[in-house]
Amino acid sequence: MNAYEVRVALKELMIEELNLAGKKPDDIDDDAPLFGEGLGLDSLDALQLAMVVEEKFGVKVPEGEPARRIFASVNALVGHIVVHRATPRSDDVRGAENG
Amino acid sequence: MPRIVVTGLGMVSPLGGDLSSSMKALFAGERGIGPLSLFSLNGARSSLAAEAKGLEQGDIAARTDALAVQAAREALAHAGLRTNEHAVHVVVGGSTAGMFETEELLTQLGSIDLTEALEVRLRTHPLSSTVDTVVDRLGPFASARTVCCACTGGAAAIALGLSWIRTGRAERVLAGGADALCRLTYSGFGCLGVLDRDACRPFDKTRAGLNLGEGAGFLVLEREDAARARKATILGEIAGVALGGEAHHITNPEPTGKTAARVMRRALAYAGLDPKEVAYVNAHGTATPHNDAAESAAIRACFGDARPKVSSSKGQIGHTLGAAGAIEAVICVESIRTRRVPPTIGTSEADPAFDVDHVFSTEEVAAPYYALSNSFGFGGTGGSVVVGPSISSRDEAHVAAPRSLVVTGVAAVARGRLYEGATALAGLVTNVARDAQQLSAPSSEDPTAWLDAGKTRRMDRAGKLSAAIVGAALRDADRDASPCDRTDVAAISGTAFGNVDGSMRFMKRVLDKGANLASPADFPNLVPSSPVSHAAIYWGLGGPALATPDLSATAEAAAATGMELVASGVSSAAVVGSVEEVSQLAERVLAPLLGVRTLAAHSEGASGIVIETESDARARNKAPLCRVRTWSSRRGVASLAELPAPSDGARVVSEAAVDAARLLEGTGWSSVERWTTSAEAGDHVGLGGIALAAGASLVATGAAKSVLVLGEAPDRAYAFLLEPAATT
Repeated sequence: MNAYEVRVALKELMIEELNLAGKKPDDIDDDAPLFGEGLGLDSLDALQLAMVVEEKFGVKVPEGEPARRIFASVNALVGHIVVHRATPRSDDVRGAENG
Repeated sequence: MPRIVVTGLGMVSPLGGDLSSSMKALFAGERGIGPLSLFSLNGARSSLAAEAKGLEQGDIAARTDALAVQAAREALAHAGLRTNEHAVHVVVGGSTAGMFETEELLTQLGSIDLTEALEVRLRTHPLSSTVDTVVDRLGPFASARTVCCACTGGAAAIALGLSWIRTGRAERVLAGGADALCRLTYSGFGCLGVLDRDACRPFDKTRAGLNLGEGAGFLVLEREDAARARKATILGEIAGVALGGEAHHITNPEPTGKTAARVMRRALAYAGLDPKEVAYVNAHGTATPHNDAAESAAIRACFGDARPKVSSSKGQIGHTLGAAGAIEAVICVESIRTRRVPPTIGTSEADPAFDVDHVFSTEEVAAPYYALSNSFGFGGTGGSVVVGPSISSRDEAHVAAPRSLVVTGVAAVARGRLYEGATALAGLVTNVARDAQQLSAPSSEDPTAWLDAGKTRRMDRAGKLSAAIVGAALRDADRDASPCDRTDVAAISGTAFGNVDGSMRFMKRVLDKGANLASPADFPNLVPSSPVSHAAIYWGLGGPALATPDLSATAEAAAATGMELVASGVSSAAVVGSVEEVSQLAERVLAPLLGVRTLAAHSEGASGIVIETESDARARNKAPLCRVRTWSSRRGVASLAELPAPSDGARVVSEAAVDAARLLEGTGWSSVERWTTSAEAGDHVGLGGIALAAGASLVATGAAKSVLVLGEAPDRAYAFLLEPAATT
């Protein structure tokens, strides 16, 4: 999966997992902050997102200060996933594409 | 008004199987936190827990229920009280009941055969299992109730027990809380990132979360004159209580602690005490970054310069969830009785931002004092209990007589339709035989569709139904919009089996994929009080959000609880009722096992009834639908003989399945005309709430001069007598 494919899969996952009913992938700005203003997401959403990223992409999001940086925007999160997704398992890829 | 005294205490904790061993270890600074041995869980965040010590489970099927029975038995024995000689009422707070025994089983239902042994386990799943086991093993009890509000359950049970005594409904109450460890809470708290991987450090600069614990605490509360009449030893008193809601977030506390401070102040006011008379605060002190910061701010705001000593017991017994409020109230009684303030253990450097007077090793105190115990839970419900010494000159003269109650709003959801107001609700009861009733076509509309989608994103179906029904009832009561004061309005809802399907899905994921992939978004919705908490957050209600499981009489239990809290002044008003989702697991598996009637075609249903005081309704020029003359909540169902005689034009209202003839045998009501909930009201275990709302509506529309609403479930019965409100 390249960054483009990860971004598409991630946005679809966010809409599904964070119950962003009525939102389309294009409504989620690639560079806007994920939490606080904008999408109106909070710390509980961050936990859910970290969990599904681990499940679907096989990439852990560390806790604390590093998480703040990784969750800064969709692009920052995509970057983290692409860098750490060194050895994708086949079931992860399938999960992400279905996401 | 006599004081409400404590005459018996019981405890099972991670420090010991009884009161004296637990308290000895607590004052000695021992820790009951160690490796988790009860179960193993792949991918768990932590490997530590505070497991109960000295539990003798015997033949009791559920661990939580066994914890409760052991502590309750000790408290009754300590008080020298026999339930067959005195009328004792019981109230239990909790959040898990038989979850530990059923959480794996639930995920296998449908693929395994149910043996008798598995059925025994499954029967412990409903949250009323704990109080039912206490009744079974230690009864008879005059009445029994379960209150669930996550980690505030134990405090809420004490508050309700105090309400019963203050309003003359009971002289003696066994009140407590019990919760056992289980995979569901362990993986749930883990996925929220609030479990410390090491032993917890309350109020520490580097605190990193809590350790889950388990246990039970019980107190025998008695009216002082009743206790003295039987020459009981008085251990202390419950001087005041308060319950409140933050209406902020489903898991996170309000960072400023302003509601926590309000709840503490209100408990002191209820006790008629000045902050400087309180020498010790047993903090909720979970050791999570958020709780300890918010609670410290609240303690400073409430006490100012009075600066009581503050400690948290969580570093020794862990967080015992629904038991915590009761166990920690027991600790306060023992602290005052022995004049020793127990320590906070595990902390090496207190967070300097907190600025409260910590106690890190047991301190002796020379003069008698009062103590305050705090509990805060998911959904924002908090509770404070004020405990005092056995001998006190505290003035109880400020306590008012029970307040006169009225119904000011009604709403229901039935067969996909939202009903609002007396005229609509009166149509949901009938005297026409079921097979002669005309049934409308099912509605294809969603009765929750009018809610603001942006505010319901987190809610499951029960949460949305709850927000809709509470909102519609408040609207009918003209309490939905500003500037109407909702500061102390409680939201109380029955739910027969809780979120069974959601718990099953959550656990299946944990067992299949590992606890590290448990869903943080789903876990809060598994808390029994989650639907009403969502409603309270949506509508900004500042009272507690409580769930009241009682098999198929849950709406009735909610109504009685709300009336009792408002009559005693703990809450200013309450929206009561129930929310029942469609759940094949609950209806096809759990309900038949528990003797709750099975339903042919299940439908979702909900009810909301606004209870407030007659004087509040008058003050805001709101004409009530009816007055609540009296209500009754009974165990053993001997009879409802204490009911006042019926007036002309009276009617009995209930759901069709209620055996009214049996309940009313020997009373003046046995020959009164009976109406039942119609087919249009749907078919669900919350029909009792619709019967109550419709009964109030019949009085409001003049169709009946007075209405006796009846509800029942195996071994329990409820009655509510509604009459026209006084005209002004």
